[in-house]
Amino acid sequence: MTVDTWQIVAQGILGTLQLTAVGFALGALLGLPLLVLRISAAWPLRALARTYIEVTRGVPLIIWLFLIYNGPTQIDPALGSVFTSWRSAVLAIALVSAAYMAEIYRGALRAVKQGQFEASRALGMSRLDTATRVIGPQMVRVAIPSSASYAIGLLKDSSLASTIGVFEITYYASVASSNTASVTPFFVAGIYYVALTFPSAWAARSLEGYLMKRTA
Amino acid sequence: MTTSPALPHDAIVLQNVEKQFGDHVVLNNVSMSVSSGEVVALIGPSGAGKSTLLRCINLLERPTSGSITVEGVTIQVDHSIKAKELAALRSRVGMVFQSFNLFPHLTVLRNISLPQQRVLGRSQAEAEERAMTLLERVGLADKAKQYPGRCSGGQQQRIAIARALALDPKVMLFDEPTSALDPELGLEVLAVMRELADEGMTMVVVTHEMQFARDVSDHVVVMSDGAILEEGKPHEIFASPSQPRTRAFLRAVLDRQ
Amino acid sequence: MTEIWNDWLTHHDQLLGGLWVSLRLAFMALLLGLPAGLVLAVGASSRRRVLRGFIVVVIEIGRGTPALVMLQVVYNGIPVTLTGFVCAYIALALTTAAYTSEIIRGGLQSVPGGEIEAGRALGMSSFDVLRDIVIPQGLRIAIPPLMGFCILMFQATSLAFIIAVPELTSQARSIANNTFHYLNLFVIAGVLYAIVTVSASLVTEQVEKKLQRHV
Ligand SMILES: Nc1ncnc2c1ncn2[C@@H]1O[C@H](COP(=O)(O)OP(=O)(O)O)[C@@H](O)[C@H]1O
Ligand SMILES: [Mg+2]
Repeated sequence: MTVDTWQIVAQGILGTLQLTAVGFALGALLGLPLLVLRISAAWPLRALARTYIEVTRGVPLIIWLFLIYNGPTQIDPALGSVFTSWRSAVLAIALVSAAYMAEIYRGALRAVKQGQFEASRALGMSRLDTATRVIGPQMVRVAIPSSASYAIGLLKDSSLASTIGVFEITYYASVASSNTASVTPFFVAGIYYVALTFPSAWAARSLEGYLMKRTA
Repeated sequence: MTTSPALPHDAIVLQNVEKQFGDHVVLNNVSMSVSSGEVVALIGPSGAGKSTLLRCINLLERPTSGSITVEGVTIQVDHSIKAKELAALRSRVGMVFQSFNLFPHLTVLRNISLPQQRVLGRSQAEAEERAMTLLERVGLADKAKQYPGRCSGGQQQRIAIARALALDPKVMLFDEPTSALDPELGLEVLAVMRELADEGMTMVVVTHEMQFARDVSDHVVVMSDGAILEEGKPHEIFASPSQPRTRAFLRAVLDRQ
Repeated sequence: MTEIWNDWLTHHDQLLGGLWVSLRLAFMALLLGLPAGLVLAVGASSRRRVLRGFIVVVIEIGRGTPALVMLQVVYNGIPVTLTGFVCAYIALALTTAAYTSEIIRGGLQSVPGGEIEAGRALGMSSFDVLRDIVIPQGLRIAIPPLMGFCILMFQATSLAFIIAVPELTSQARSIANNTFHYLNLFVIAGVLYAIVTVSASLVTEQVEKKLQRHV
C-alpha cells in the first residue's frame, strides 16, 4: 500500500463530506413542509405526502441519481449542463432524505405526549408558541438520535454518487483501482468510510446520553 | 411426594456465607441450616439481603466466600464450580420468583415439560405426562394448551410452582411469591404452598405474609442488614421477639395488614 | 407517457428478467446473511470481553463500509475468479450480516432478565437458555425491523450493476445507453422497484400490527 494510494483516495474525503452535509441539510429542511402535509387535516394532502414518501423511499437511490442525471438529456441534450454530476447528486439525496426525515419528525412528534399540547393550550399559549417553545424543543431531543444515524447512513450512501462522476471517496478509489489494476484503493476507501462513521456514531451516542440527562 | 419422609437430616447448610457487590457488603457471614421437611420463613425489612441469601442457595448469586451444602453435596464457592455441578445443584433446588417468570412464548404445558427434557433428559411424552399430573395438582389442567399471558397472576404463579416441582426438587425456594398479586389471588398460591408443606417438602420462603409464616412455618429467621437478627419457633418470634428491631419490624408489618 | 409505454412493450422481457435476477440476488444474500447476523448478535452479547470486542469491531467495519465499496472489494479482491453474481451475493451477505446483527441484538436484549434467570434456576444450560428462551423471543421482536431491512437489501441489489450483474438497474442502463431513452427506462425501473418495495412494506406493516396484538 503506497502513500500515494492513501493520498489519491483522500482527495475525495471533502467531496463526500460536502455532498452528505448539503444533501442532508436540504433534506432536513424539505422534510418540514412534508411533515406538515403528512399530518394535515385534509386527506388529499395527507395521501399525496404519504405517496411521495413511500415511492421516494421505495426506489433505490441509484435510480434517482440516474434519472436526475441522465433523464433530462433524453428531452434535450443541452439539459446535461444544467443537471451536472454535483447538482444531480445533491438533488437526489435531498429528495430522498426529505422523505426519510419527514418520517423521523413524525415519529418524534408522536413521542411528545398529547398532554403537552393540552397543557400549553390551557395555559393560554398561542399555537405558534406551543409549536416553537414547547413541542419543537422536545421533538428535537427525540429526533436527534435517529437523524444522526440516518446522516451516518447517508455518508455511506453518498458513495453511489461516484457512478455519475461526483468527485468523492469512491470515485477516486475507482479511478485509482482501474489505473493500477488493484483492489487496494477500495480497501483504503473502506477504511476512510469506517474512520468517518466511527467517530460520528460515537458522538451521536454521547450526544444522546447528554440529552437524556438534560431531560431526566 | 408419595414417599414417606426419611429420617430428618440437614437439607440445606450455609456456612459463613458472605456476599459483596463491589465494596457493599450484602451478606455478612451468614450461617444457617434447614432440616429436611422443614418450612423456614425468612422475614425482615426490605434491603436486608433476603433475596440475595435465597439466590445464593442455588448459586444464581455467587457468594464471595463460604460454603453451601444441599442434600449432602457441598460446594465451596472459592473453588471453581463446574457447569455440571451447577446444573445438578439447581435441578435439586426449585425456585419460585415474585414475578413468576414463565416463558411467554411457550404454552403452559411446554413451560413445564421443556425444562424436564433439557435438564433431566426425559422424553416429551414422559415430561408432558408429569406436567399434566402437576397441573391437576395445582388445579389448572384446563390451562395446559394456553399461553401464560392468558392466565391470571395467581394462576401463573401456580404454574411456576408446578414447573419447578416437575424437576423433582428436594428443596423449594420462594422469593415473595405473593407480593405481586392481589390478596385473593395470593390466597390460592398460599393454599398450594401449604399443601406442599403438609406433604413434607423442604421449603425456604421469603415472605411478608405474617399469617402464613405463623401458621405454616416450622422455623422463622429474621434478617436485617445482611445478617441474621434472630431465629426461632414462630410462636416465640411473633409472641415475644427478643430483639427490639424485630419488634419494630413486626409492628410495622402487622399494622399494614 | 405513451413513449414510456412503448419502451415497456419493447423491452419488458429484458427488464423483467433483470427484476428476477434482483429478487434472486436479494434472496440469496438474505439466506446466507441472516443466520450469520444471528451468530454475530450472539457473539456481540457474549460475556467474554475479548470475543465481544472482536465481534463488535467486525460488525462496525461491516456497517461502516458502503455496500458499493464492499462489492468492489469482493469482486476485485478475491484472487479466484468468481462470477459477478456470486461476488455480489457474498458482498451483500456480508453487509446483511453486519446490519442484521445489530437489529437481532436489540431483540435479544429485550427478552426480560427474569426469564433467563428462571431458566438458569431450573438448571438449564446457557446454551439451552439461549436456544429455547432468548432466541425464539428475541427473533420474534426483531421481525418487523428485519423485514424492513430485507426491503433495503432488495434495493441494494441495484448496486450490483457496477460488477456487471445483469439485474434490473443494469438492464435498464444498457437499454438506455443504446436508445438514449434514459428518462423512460429509469422511470420504468423505478416503478418496478416501487411495486416490489411498497407492497413489501405494506405487508410488513400488517405483520407488525399482528405481532403487537399478540404480545
Ligand atoms: N445485583 C446487585 N448489585 C448491587 N447491589 C445489589 C444487587 N442485588 C441486591 N443488591 C443490594 O443488596 C442489598 C440486599 O438486597 P436484597 O437481597 O434484594 O434484599 P431484600 O430481598 O431483603 O429486600 C440491597 O441493598 C440491594 O441494593
Ligand atoms: Mg427481595
